[in-house]
Amino acid sequence: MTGGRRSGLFAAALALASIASANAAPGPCPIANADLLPGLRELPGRAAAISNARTDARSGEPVLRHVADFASGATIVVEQQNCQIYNLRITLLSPAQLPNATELRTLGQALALTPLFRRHFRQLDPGALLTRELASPRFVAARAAQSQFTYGWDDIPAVSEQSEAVLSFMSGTSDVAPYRSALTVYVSVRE
Amino acid sequence: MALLNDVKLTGSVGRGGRNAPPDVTLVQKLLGGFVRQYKLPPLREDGRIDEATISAITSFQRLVVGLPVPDGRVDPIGRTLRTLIAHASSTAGKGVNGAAAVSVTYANSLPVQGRIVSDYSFQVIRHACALAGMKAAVITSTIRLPAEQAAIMYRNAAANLQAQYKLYGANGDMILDVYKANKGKPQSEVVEAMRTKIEELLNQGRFVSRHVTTLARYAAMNVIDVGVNSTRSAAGQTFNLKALTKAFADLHRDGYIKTFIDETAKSNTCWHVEIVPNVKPL
Repeated sequence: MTGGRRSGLFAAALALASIASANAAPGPCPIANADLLPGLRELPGRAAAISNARTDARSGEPVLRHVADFASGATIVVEQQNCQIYNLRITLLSPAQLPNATELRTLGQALALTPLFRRHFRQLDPGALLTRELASPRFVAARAAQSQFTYGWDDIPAVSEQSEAVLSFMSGTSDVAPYRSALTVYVSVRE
Repeated sequence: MALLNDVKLTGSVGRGGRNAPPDVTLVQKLLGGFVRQYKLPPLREDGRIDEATISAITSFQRLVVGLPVPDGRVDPIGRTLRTLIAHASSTAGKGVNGAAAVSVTYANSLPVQGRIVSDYSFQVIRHACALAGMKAAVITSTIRLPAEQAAIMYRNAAANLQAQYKLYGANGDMILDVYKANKGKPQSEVVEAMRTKIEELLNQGRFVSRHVTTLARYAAMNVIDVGVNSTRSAAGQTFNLKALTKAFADLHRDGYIKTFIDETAKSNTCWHVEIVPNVKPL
Protein backbone atom coordinates (compact mmCIF):
# COMPACT_ATOMS: atom_id res chain seq x y z
CA MET A 1 0.00 0.00 0.00
CA THR A 2 1.43 3.39 -0.91
CA GLY A 3 1.34 6.45 1.30
CA GLY A 4 -0.60 8.28 -1.40
CA ARG A 5 -3.34 5.64 -1.48
CA ARG A 6 -3.59 5.65 2.27
CA SER A 7 -3.84 9.42 2.43
CA GLY A 8 -6.50 9.28 -0.28
CA LEU A 9 -8.54 6.85 1.76
CA PHE A 10 -8.45 8.94 4.88
CA ALA A 11 -9.03 12.16 2.99
CA ALA A 12 -12.08 10.64 1.38
CA ALA A 13 -13.36 9.58 4.75
CA LEU A 14 -12.84 13.06 6.13
CA ALA A 15 -14.60 14.59 3.18
CA LEU A 16 -17.71 12.71 4.23
CA ALA A 17 -17.97 15.05 7.17
CA SER A 18 -19.30 17.67 4.75
CA ILE A 19 -22.14 15.44 3.60
CA ALA A 20 -25.35 16.72 5.00
CA SER A 21 -28.35 15.26 3.29
CA ALA A 22 -29.78 12.04 1.91
CA ASN A 23 -31.41 11.85 -1.49
CA ALA A 24 -34.08 9.44 -2.59
CA ALA A 25 -32.74 6.23 -4.16
CA PRO A 26 -33.65 6.00 -7.86
CA GLY A 27 -35.25 3.03 -9.56
CA PRO A 28 -37.29 0.13 -8.26
CA CYS A 29 -35.35 -2.49 -6.31
CA PRO A 30 -36.79 -5.56 -4.58
CA ILE A 31 -34.35 -5.06 -1.72
CA ALA A 32 -34.30 -1.51 -0.40
CA ASN A 33 -31.62 0.38 1.43
CA ALA A 34 -32.66 1.33 4.94
CA ASP A 35 -32.26 4.55 6.87
CA LEU A 36 -29.90 3.65 9.72
CA LEU A 37 -29.54 7.14 11.17
CA PRO A 38 -31.77 6.63 14.22
CA GLY A 39 -29.96 3.44 15.20
CA LEU A 40 -26.49 4.81 14.54
CA ARG A 41 -27.22 7.89 16.66
CA GLU A 42 -28.07 5.64 19.58
CA LEU A 43 -24.78 3.78 19.51
CA PRO A 44 -22.61 4.32 22.58
CA GLY A 45 -19.82 6.88 22.35
CA ARG A 46 -21.72 10.02 21.42
CA ALA A 47 -22.14 9.20 17.75
CA ALA A 48 -22.99 11.93 15.29
CA ALA A 49 -24.36 10.46 12.09
CA ILE A 50 -25.12 11.70 8.61
CA SER A 51 -26.07 10.05 5.34
CA ASN A 52 -25.86 10.54 1.62
CA ALA A 53 -27.35 8.75 -1.38
CA ARG A 54 -25.92 8.25 -4.83
CA THR A 55 -26.13 5.84 -7.74
CA ASP A 56 -23.45 3.29 -8.57
CA ALA A 57 -22.15 4.11 -12.02
CA ARG A 58 -21.57 0.50 -13.12
CA SER A 59 -24.79 -1.13 -12.02
CA GLY A 60 -27.23 1.75 -11.58
CA GLU A 61 -27.92 0.45 -8.07
CA PRO A 62 -28.80 2.98 -5.39
CA VAL A 63 -26.09 3.46 -2.78
CA LEU A 64 -26.88 4.79 0.66
CA ARG A 65 -23.91 5.71 2.79
CA HIS A 66 -24.07 6.52 6.48
CA VAL A 67 -21.20 7.98 8.44
CA ALA A 68 -21.14 7.83 12.22
CA ASP A 69 -18.45 9.74 14.06
CA PHE A 70 -17.52 9.01 17.67
CA ALA A 71 -16.00 10.96 20.53
CA SER A 72 -13.10 8.49 20.62
CA GLY A 73 -12.00 9.71 17.21
CA ALA A 74 -13.22 6.60 15.39
CA THR A 75 -15.59 6.73 12.45
CA ILE A 76 -17.84 4.03 11.04
CA VAL A 77 -18.97 4.13 7.42
CA VAL A 78 -21.90 1.91 6.45
CA GLU A 79 -22.65 1.57 2.76
CA GLN A 80 -25.69 -0.29 1.50
CA GLN A 81 -26.03 -1.07 -2.19
CA ASN A 82 -29.11 -3.26 -2.08
CA CYS A 83 -31.21 -3.95 -5.13
CA GLN A 84 -31.40 -7.42 -6.74
CA ILE A 85 -29.06 -8.68 -4.03
CA TYR A 86 -27.95 -7.52 -0.61
CA ASN A 87 -24.68 -5.58 -0.76
CA LEU A 88 -23.19 -4.25 2.43
CA ARG A 89 -19.80 -2.79 3.20
CA ILE A 90 -18.94 -1.35 6.57
CA THR A 91 -15.66 0.25 7.52
CA LEU A 92 -14.23 1.18 10.88
CA LEU A 93 -11.70 3.99 10.68
CA SER A 94 -9.70 3.98 13.87
CA PRO A 95 -7.12 6.42 15.26
CA ALA A 96 -5.16 3.33 16.36
CA GLN A 97 -3.19 0.98 14.17
CA LEU A 98 -5.40 -1.82 15.43
CA PRO A 99 -9.01 -1.23 16.50
CA ASN A 100 -9.67 -1.79 20.19
CA ALA A 101 -12.36 -3.96 21.75
CA THR A 102 -14.78 -1.07 22.25
CA GLU A 103 -14.50 -0.02 18.62
CA LEU A 104 -15.04 -3.59 17.42
CA ARG A 105 -18.07 -3.94 19.66
CA THR A 106 -19.52 -0.73 18.24
CA LEU A 107 -18.77 -1.91 14.71
CA GLY A 108 -20.66 -5.10 15.52
CA GLN A 109 -23.60 -3.08 16.82
CA ALA A 110 -23.64 -1.04 13.62
CA LEU A 111 -23.60 -4.25 11.54
CA ALA A 112 -26.51 -5.60 13.53
CA LEU A 113 -28.60 -2.56 12.53
CA THR A 114 -28.48 -3.35 8.82
CA PRO A 115 -31.35 -5.06 6.98
CA LEU A 116 -28.99 -7.81 5.82
CA PHE A 117 -27.91 -8.77 9.32
CA ARG A 118 -31.40 -8.37 10.72
CA ARG A 119 -32.74 -10.74 8.07
CA HIS A 120 -30.02 -13.37 7.80
CA PHE A 121 -27.57 -13.09 10.67
CA ARG A 122 -29.71 -12.26 13.65
CA GLN A 123 -28.19 -15.20 15.52
CA LEU A 124 -24.65 -13.86 15.18
CA ASP A 125 -22.77 -11.60 17.55
CA PRO A 126 -20.74 -9.67 14.96
CA GLY A 127 -18.74 -7.76 17.59
CA ALA A 128 -17.56 -11.01 19.15
CA LEU A 129 -16.83 -12.47 15.71
CA LEU A 130 -14.71 -9.46 14.81
CA THR A 131 -12.84 -9.55 18.12
CA ARG A 132 -12.08 -13.21 17.61
CA GLU A 133 -11.07 -12.70 13.99
CA LEU A 134 -8.58 -9.94 14.81
CA ALA A 135 -6.92 -12.29 17.29
CA SER A 136 -6.95 -15.23 14.87
CA PRO A 137 -3.70 -16.69 13.50
CA ARG A 138 -4.82 -15.83 9.96
CA PHE A 139 -5.33 -12.13 10.74
CA VAL A 140 -2.24 -11.84 12.93
CA ALA A 141 -0.05 -13.49 10.29
CA ALA A 142 -1.46 -11.35 7.48
CA ARG A 143 -0.95 -8.18 9.51
CA ALA A 144 2.62 -9.12 10.29
CA ALA A 145 3.33 -9.62 6.61
CA GLN A 146 1.43 -6.75 4.99
CA SER A 147 -0.02 -3.35 5.82
CA GLN A 148 -3.01 -4.09 3.59
CA PHE A 149 -4.76 -7.40 2.94
CA THR A 150 -8.10 -8.91 2.02
CA TYR A 151 -9.49 -12.41 2.40
CA GLY A 152 -12.71 -14.36 2.27
CA TRP A 153 -14.25 -14.43 5.73
CA ASP A 154 -16.02 -17.72 6.23
CA ASP A 155 -17.14 -16.97 9.78
CA ILE A 156 -20.12 -15.29 8.19
CA PRO A 157 -22.22 -18.33 7.27
CA ALA A 158 -23.29 -18.80 3.67
CA VAL A 159 -26.93 -17.98 3.13
CA SER A 160 -27.04 -19.03 -0.51
CA GLU A 161 -24.69 -20.33 -3.15
CA GLN A 162 -24.05 -16.73 -4.15
CA SER A 163 -23.09 -15.39 -0.74
CA GLU A 164 -19.86 -13.48 -0.31
CA ALA A 165 -18.13 -12.35 2.86
CA VAL A 166 -14.82 -10.55 2.73
CA LEU A 167 -12.66 -8.94 5.38
CA SER A 168 -10.16 -6.24 4.48
CA PHE A 169 -7.67 -4.37 6.63
CA MET A 170 -5.13 -1.64 6.11
CA SER A 171 -3.01 0.30 8.55
CA GLY A 172 -0.47 3.12 8.51
CA THR A 173 1.69 5.17 10.82
CA SER A 174 1.12 8.74 9.69
CA ASP A 175 1.40 11.22 12.56
CA VAL A 176 -0.84 13.74 10.87
CA ALA A 177 -3.68 11.49 9.66
CA PRO A 178 -6.78 11.24 11.87
CA TYR A 179 -6.96 7.50 11.24
CA ARG A 180 -4.27 4.84 11.33
CA SER A 181 -6.30 1.80 10.39
CA ALA A 182 -9.31 0.86 8.32
CA LEU A 183 -11.13 -2.42 8.87
CA THR A 184 -13.79 -3.30 6.29
CA VAL A 185 -16.34 -6.09 6.25
CA TYR A 186 -18.14 -6.74 2.99
CA VAL A 187 -21.10 -9.10 2.74
CA SER A 188 -23.38 -9.81 -0.20
CA VAL A 189 -26.23 -12.28 -0.46
CA ARG A 190 -28.25 -13.26 -3.48
CA GLU A 191 -31.31 -14.94 -2.03
CA MET B 1 -18.26 -56.37 4.41
CA ALA B 2 -16.84 -56.43 7.91
CA LEU B 3 -14.17 -58.98 6.97
CA LEU B 4 -12.90 -57.40 3.79
CA ASN B 5 -9.30 -58.19 4.69
CA ASP B 6 -10.16 -61.89 4.48
CA VAL B 7 -11.78 -61.73 1.03
CA LYS B 8 -10.50 -64.50 -1.25
CA LEU B 9 -11.56 -65.81 -4.63
CA THR B 10 -11.15 -69.47 -5.56
CA GLY B 11 -11.02 -68.57 -9.23
CA SER B 12 -11.35 -65.71 -11.66
CA VAL B 13 -14.63 -63.87 -12.18
CA GLY B 14 -15.78 -62.10 -15.32
CA ARG B 15 -15.09 -62.41 -19.02
CA GLY B 16 -13.45 -65.80 -19.68
CA GLY B 17 -13.24 -66.54 -15.94
CA ARG B 18 -14.07 -69.69 -14.02
CA ASN B 19 -17.08 -67.90 -12.52
CA ALA B 20 -17.82 -70.17 -9.59
CA PRO B 21 -21.13 -68.91 -8.14
CA PRO B 22 -19.73 -68.06 -4.64
CA ASP B 23 -16.92 -66.04 -6.29
CA VAL B 24 -19.36 -64.26 -8.59
CA THR B 25 -21.59 -63.37 -5.65
CA LEU B 26 -18.62 -61.98 -3.77
CA VAL B 27 -17.53 -59.79 -6.69
CA GLN B 28 -21.10 -58.60 -7.21
CA LYS B 29 -21.26 -57.58 -3.54
CA LEU B 30 -17.87 -55.85 -3.74
CA LEU B 31 -19.03 -53.92 -6.81
CA GLY B 32 -22.17 -52.70 -5.05
CA GLY B 33 -20.76 -49.40 -3.84
CA PHE B 34 -19.11 -48.71 -7.16
CA VAL B 35 -22.25 -49.23 -9.27
CA ARG B 36 -24.23 -47.00 -6.91
CA GLN B 37 -21.56 -44.33 -7.01
CA TYR B 38 -21.39 -44.28 -10.80
CA LYS B 39 -25.11 -44.84 -11.33
CA LEU B 40 -24.59 -48.08 -13.22
CA PRO B 41 -27.38 -50.66 -13.42
CA PRO B 42 -27.67 -52.44 -10.06
CA LEU B 43 -26.24 -55.95 -9.95
CA ARG B 44 -28.13 -59.02 -8.87
CA GLU B 45 -26.10 -60.73 -6.16
CA ASP B 46 -27.15 -64.18 -7.37
CA GLY B 47 -23.82 -65.77 -8.24
CA ARG B 48 -24.57 -65.86 -11.97
CA ILE B 49 -22.20 -64.11 -14.30
CA ASP B 50 -24.01 -61.80 -16.70
CA GLU B 51 -23.34 -58.86 -18.99
CA ALA B 52 -24.18 -56.34 -16.23
CA THR B 53 -21.52 -57.82 -13.92
CA ILE B 54 -18.88 -57.99 -16.67
CA SER B 55 -19.72 -54.43 -17.71
CA ALA B 56 -19.41 -53.25 -14.09
CA ILE B 57 -16.01 -54.98 -13.76
CA THR B 58 -14.86 -53.35 -17.00
CA SER B 59 -16.05 -49.91 -15.85
CA PHE B 60 -14.39 -50.38 -12.47
CA GLN B 61 -11.09 -51.30 -14.13
CA ARG B 62 -11.27 -48.26 -16.38
CA LEU B 63 -12.54 -45.65 -13.88
CA VAL B 64 -11.02 -46.77 -10.57
CA VAL B 65 -8.12 -49.11 -11.31
CA GLY B 66 -7.06 -46.99 -14.26
CA LEU B 67 -6.42 -49.80 -16.71
CA PRO B 68 -6.14 -48.45 -20.26
CA VAL B 69 -7.42 -51.74 -21.71
CA PRO B 70 -9.78 -53.39 -19.19
CA ASP B 71 -10.20 -57.14 -19.59
CA GLY B 72 -13.45 -57.41 -17.63
CA ARG B 73 -12.11 -60.07 -15.29
CA VAL B 74 -11.21 -60.20 -11.59
CA ASP B 75 -8.41 -62.64 -10.85
CA PRO B 76 -7.77 -64.16 -7.39
CA ILE B 77 -4.35 -62.52 -7.20
CA GLY B 78 -4.53 -59.30 -9.11
CA ARG B 79 -4.71 -55.53 -9.02
CA THR B 80 -8.41 -55.39 -9.78
CA LEU B 81 -9.32 -57.51 -6.74
CA ARG B 82 -7.02 -55.52 -4.44
CA THR B 83 -8.48 -52.24 -5.65
CA LEU B 84 -11.98 -53.61 -5.43
CA ILE B 85 -11.48 -54.58 -1.79
CA ALA B 86 -10.00 -51.19 -0.95
CA HIS B 87 -12.81 -49.38 -2.74
CA ALA B 88 -15.48 -51.49 -1.10
CA SER B 89 -13.90 -50.81 2.30
CA SER B 90 -14.09 -47.07 1.73
CA THR B 91 -17.67 -47.10 0.48
CA ALA B 92 -19.15 -49.63 2.85
CA GLY B 93 -21.82 -48.10 5.08
CA LYS B 94 -20.84 -47.69 8.70
CA GLY B 95 -22.43 -46.14 11.75
CA VAL B 96 -26.01 -45.62 10.69
CA ASN B 97 -28.19 -48.62 10.06
CA GLY B 98 -29.27 -48.79 6.45
CA ALA B 99 -26.67 -46.37 5.07
CA ALA B 100 -25.09 -49.10 2.95
CA ALA B 101 -28.43 -49.76 1.28
CA VAL B 102 -28.89 -46.15 0.23
CA SER B 103 -28.23 -45.35 -3.39
CA VAL B 104 -26.49 -42.03 -4.00
CA THR B 105 -25.91 -41.36 -7.67
CA TYR B 106 -25.03 -38.61 -10.07
CA ALA B 107 -27.70 -37.04 -12.23
CA ASN B 108 -27.51 -38.12 -15.85
CA SER B 109 -27.06 -34.48 -16.82
CA LEU B 110 -23.89 -34.10 -14.73
CA PRO B 111 -20.83 -34.21 -16.99
CA VAL B 112 -18.30 -36.98 -16.40
CA GLN B 113 -15.62 -34.46 -15.38
CA GLY B 114 -17.91 -33.33 -12.56
CA ARG B 115 -18.22 -36.84 -11.11
CA ILE B 116 -15.38 -36.38 -8.66
CA VAL B 117 -17.13 -36.43 -5.32
CA SER B 118 -15.12 -38.32 -2.71
CA ASP B 119 -16.23 -41.64 -1.25
CA TYR B 120 -16.41 -39.94 2.13
CA SER B 121 -18.91 -37.38 0.85
CA PHE B 122 -20.98 -40.17 -0.64
CA GLN B 123 -20.99 -41.81 2.76
CA VAL B 124 -22.12 -38.61 4.46
CA ILE B 125 -25.01 -38.23 2.02
CA ARG B 126 -25.92 -41.90 2.48
CA HIS B 127 -25.97 -41.36 6.22
CA ALA B 128 -28.24 -38.36 5.80
CA CYS B 129 -30.61 -40.43 3.68
CA ALA B 130 -30.52 -43.28 6.17
CA LEU B 131 -31.31 -40.88 9.02
CA ALA B 132 -34.22 -39.57 6.95
CA GLY B 133 -35.44 -43.05 6.10
CA MET B 134 -34.81 -42.49 2.40
CA LYS B 135 -33.41 -45.01 -0.03
CA ALA B 136 -31.81 -42.70 -2.58
CA ALA B 137 -30.43 -39.26 -3.35
CA VAL B 138 -29.14 -37.69 -6.56
CA ILE B 139 -26.20 -35.32 -6.90
CA THR B 140 -27.07 -32.70 -9.47
CA SER B 141 -24.17 -30.26 -9.29
CA THR B 142 -20.55 -30.35 -8.18
CA ILE B 143 -17.57 -28.39 -9.47
CA ARG B 144 -17.54 -25.53 -11.95
CA LEU B 145 -14.05 -24.75 -13.11
CA PRO B 146 -12.87 -21.13 -13.31
CA ALA B 147 -12.63 -21.38 -17.10
CA GLU B 148 -16.27 -22.46 -17.30
CA GLN B 149 -17.37 -19.67 -14.98
CA ALA B 150 -15.38 -17.13 -17.01
CA ALA B 151 -17.04 -18.30 -20.22
CA ILE B 152 -20.51 -18.05 -18.64
CA MET B 153 -19.83 -14.60 -17.24
CA TYR B 154 -18.38 -13.42 -20.55
CA ARG B 155 -21.51 -14.50 -22.40
CA ASN B 156 -23.83 -12.87 -19.90
CA ALA B 157 -21.76 -9.70 -19.67
CA ALA B 158 -21.74 -9.36 -23.46
CA ALA B 159 -25.54 -9.52 -23.40
CA ASN B 160 -26.10 -6.99 -20.61
CA LEU B 161 -23.20 -5.86 -18.47
CA GLN B 162 -25.17 -3.61 -16.15
CA ALA B 163 -27.64 -6.38 -15.32
CA GLN B 164 -24.72 -8.64 -14.42
CA TYR B 165 -23.25 -6.02 -12.10
CA LYS B 166 -26.58 -6.04 -10.30
CA LEU B 167 -26.52 -9.81 -9.86
CA TYR B 168 -23.04 -10.17 -8.43
CA GLY B 169 -21.37 -9.02 -5.25
CA ALA B 170 -17.93 -7.48 -5.02
CA ASN B 171 -16.10 -10.63 -6.13
CA GLY B 172 -18.22 -11.06 -9.24
CA ASP B 173 -17.98 -7.36 -9.98
CA MET B 174 -14.20 -7.64 -10.10
CA ILE B 175 -14.50 -10.30 -12.82
CA LEU B 176 -16.93 -8.09 -14.70
CA ASP B 177 -14.46 -5.21 -14.40
CA VAL B 178 -11.93 -7.39 -16.24
CA TYR B 179 -14.50 -7.95 -18.98
CA LYS B 180 -15.23 -4.23 -19.18
CA ALA B 181 -11.56 -3.28 -19.37
CA ASN B 182 -10.80 -5.83 -22.10
CA LYS B 183 -13.98 -6.21 -24.09
CA GLY B 184 -12.43 -4.86 -27.30
CA LYS B 185 -10.02 -7.78 -27.40
CA PRO B 186 -10.67 -11.26 -28.85
CA GLN B 187 -13.10 -13.32 -26.78
CA SER B 188 -10.52 -15.97 -25.90
CA GLU B 189 -8.18 -13.34 -24.43
CA VAL B 190 -10.94 -11.76 -22.38
CA VAL B 191 -12.17 -15.10 -21.04
CA GLU B 192 -8.61 -16.03 -20.13
CA ALA B 193 -8.13 -12.75 -18.27
CA MET B 194 -11.41 -13.34 -16.43
CA ARG B 195 -10.35 -16.88 -15.56
CA THR B 196 -7.06 -15.58 -14.18
CA LYS B 197 -8.92 -13.09 -12.00
CA ILE B 198 -11.25 -15.79 -10.68
CA GLU B 199 -8.27 -17.91 -9.67
CA GLU B 200 -6.56 -14.91 -8.10
CA LEU B 201 -9.64 -14.34 -5.94
CA LEU B 202 -9.84 -18.04 -5.08
CA ASN B 203 -6.34 -17.76 -3.67
CA GLN B 204 -7.73 -15.16 -1.26
CA GLY B 205 -10.58 -17.46 -0.29
CA ARG B 206 -13.03 -15.39 -2.36
CA PHE B 207 -15.40 -16.85 -4.92
CA VAL B 208 -18.15 -15.76 -7.28
CA SER B 209 -20.16 -18.89 -6.64
CA ARG B 210 -19.52 -21.62 -4.11
CA HIS B 211 -19.33 -24.20 -6.92
CA VAL B 212 -16.53 -22.37 -8.73
CA THR B 213 -13.21 -23.82 -7.69
CA THR B 214 -10.14 -25.64 -8.96
CA LEU B 215 -9.72 -29.42 -9.00
CA ALA B 216 -7.14 -29.21 -6.23
CA ARG B 217 -9.42 -27.13 -4.03
CA TYR B 218 -12.35 -29.41 -4.80
CA ALA B 219 -10.41 -32.38 -3.51
CA ALA B 220 -10.07 -30.58 -0.19
CA MET B 221 -13.67 -29.36 -0.10
CA ASN B 222 -16.43 -31.16 -1.99
CA VAL B 223 -19.19 -28.75 -2.99
CA ILE B 224 -22.36 -30.66 -3.80
CA ASP B 225 -25.95 -29.97 -4.68
CA VAL B 226 -28.40 -32.76 -4.01
CA GLY B 227 -31.36 -32.00 -6.24
CA VAL B 228 -34.82 -32.11 -4.74
CA ASN B 229 -36.70 -33.19 -7.86
CA SER B 230 -34.16 -35.81 -8.96
CA THR B 231 -34.01 -37.19 -5.43
CA ARG B 232 -37.78 -37.26 -5.16
CA SER B 233 -37.88 -39.32 -8.34
CA ALA B 234 -35.12 -41.71 -7.21
CA ALA B 235 -36.33 -42.15 -3.65
CA GLY B 236 -39.94 -42.78 -4.57
CA GLN B 237 -42.22 -43.26 -1.59
CA THR B 238 -39.35 -42.93 0.87
CA PHE B 239 -38.81 -39.29 -0.15
CA ASN B 240 -39.13 -36.95 2.82
CA LEU B 241 -38.02 -33.37 2.25
CA LYS B 242 -38.28 -32.24 5.85
CA ALA B 243 -36.52 -35.30 7.22
CA LEU B 244 -33.59 -35.04 4.81
CA THR B 245 -33.27 -31.31 5.48
CA LYS B 246 -33.11 -32.05 9.18
CA ALA B 247 -30.59 -34.87 8.63
CA PHE B 248 -28.28 -32.57 6.68
CA ALA B 249 -28.65 -29.89 9.36
CA ASP B 250 -27.83 -32.45 12.06
CA LEU B 251 -24.74 -33.68 10.20
CA HIS B 252 -23.71 -30.05 9.77
CA ARG B 253 -24.14 -29.42 13.50
CA ASP B 254 -22.11 -32.55 14.26
CA GLY B 255 -19.21 -31.51 12.05
CA TYR B 256 -19.56 -33.93 9.14
CA ILE B 257 -20.76 -31.17 6.82
CA LYS B 258 -18.87 -27.87 6.89
CA THR B 259 -21.54 -25.79 5.19
CA PHE B 260 -25.18 -26.60 4.65
CA ILE B 261 -27.53 -24.31 2.78
CA ASP B 262 -31.16 -25.27 2.52
CA GLU B 263 -32.10 -24.18 -0.96
CA THR B 264 -35.09 -26.47 -1.27
CA ALA B 265 -37.47 -23.52 -1.38
CA LYS B 266 -35.37 -21.56 -3.86
CA SER B 267 -35.33 -21.65 -7.63
CA ASN B 268 -32.51 -24.21 -7.85
CA THR B 269 -34.38 -26.51 -5.39
CA CYS B 270 -31.52 -28.40 -3.80
CA TRP B 271 -29.69 -29.18 -0.61
CA HIS B 272 -26.29 -27.53 -0.90
CA VAL B 273 -23.59 -29.22 1.18
CA GLU B 274 -19.87 -28.64 1.47
CA ILE B 275 -17.87 -31.51 2.89
CA VAL B 276 -14.21 -31.78 3.85
CA PRO B 277 -13.32 -35.39 2.96
CA ASN B 278 -12.40 -37.51 5.97
CA VAL B 279 -12.79 -34.61 8.37
CA LYS B 280 -14.33 -36.93 10.95
CA PRO B 281 -14.74 -40.70 11.07
CA LEU B 282 -18.24 -41.85 10.27
